Amino acid sequence: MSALTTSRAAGPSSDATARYERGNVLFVLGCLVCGTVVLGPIGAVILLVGIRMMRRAQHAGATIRPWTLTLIAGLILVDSSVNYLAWGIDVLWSHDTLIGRSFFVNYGHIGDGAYLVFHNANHLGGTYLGGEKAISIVMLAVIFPMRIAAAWGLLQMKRWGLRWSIIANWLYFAIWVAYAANMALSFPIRFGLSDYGVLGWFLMAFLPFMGPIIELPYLHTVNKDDFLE
Amino acid sequence: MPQQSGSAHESETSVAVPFRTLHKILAAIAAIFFVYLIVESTVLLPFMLMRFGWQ
Repeated sequence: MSALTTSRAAGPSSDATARYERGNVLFVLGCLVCGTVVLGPIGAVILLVGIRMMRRAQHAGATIRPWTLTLIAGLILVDSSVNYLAWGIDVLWSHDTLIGRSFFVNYGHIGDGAYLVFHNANHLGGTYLGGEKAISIVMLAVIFPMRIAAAWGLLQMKRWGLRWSIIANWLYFAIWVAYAANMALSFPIRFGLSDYGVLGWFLMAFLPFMGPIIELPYLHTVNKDDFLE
Repeated sequence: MPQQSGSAHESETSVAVPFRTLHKILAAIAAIFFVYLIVESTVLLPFMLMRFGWQ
């Protein structure tokens, strides 16, 4: 029996456990809604309500998942949700909408000129750079759906969630290296044309990409026996 | 989700002692990143639209 399933003498009230479950649902929902950017403020409120409910449930006697694990899985969820939507807007027809076009052209102003010039100019729409579009497709179709599903399994403390979180984060790290190289190789267009250059890109797109550097050491050193098959 | 029944208690994963320190450091950095992402997703679009307008 794992450390997380050991029974203790005095049981918590079912109310506390139910409150924890509700808080957990709101936490996941808040993380995903935050990633929509447009509904970001609403997502932040949902997320904070979920955390508050989980804390109250903890004080009421429910034994809960480690907060570090909640934090790591939440970070994966918000990061994946933000990126999934952003890359999705670039690849799919939503890059033609007012909000999609404004989001990406303004992003081009902030940090990456590849979204500023010739935006929606070729047959695929979105960014005109082939290398960037290839990364968009792999992010949308492979890595972020995988990361979101893995983070859900991780929050459930399932063994598959731990395994797939490790796999998906390594994939993300590999693409992160390719993405950074791709940016650097087109430096004059991408950083040079934007208003804030490297600083703007660093603040807006580089920091979120650093998630795996924090998550992988945790995922590799956590005791897998604490996760259920 | 696997949960313990019992008094107010946060489950702890059973990691080796050196990793506990590592996990505390990682949790602190993850918390900063988590808040950063939440704030970014909250203020990014309003900032963009105020600074550069609709395109």
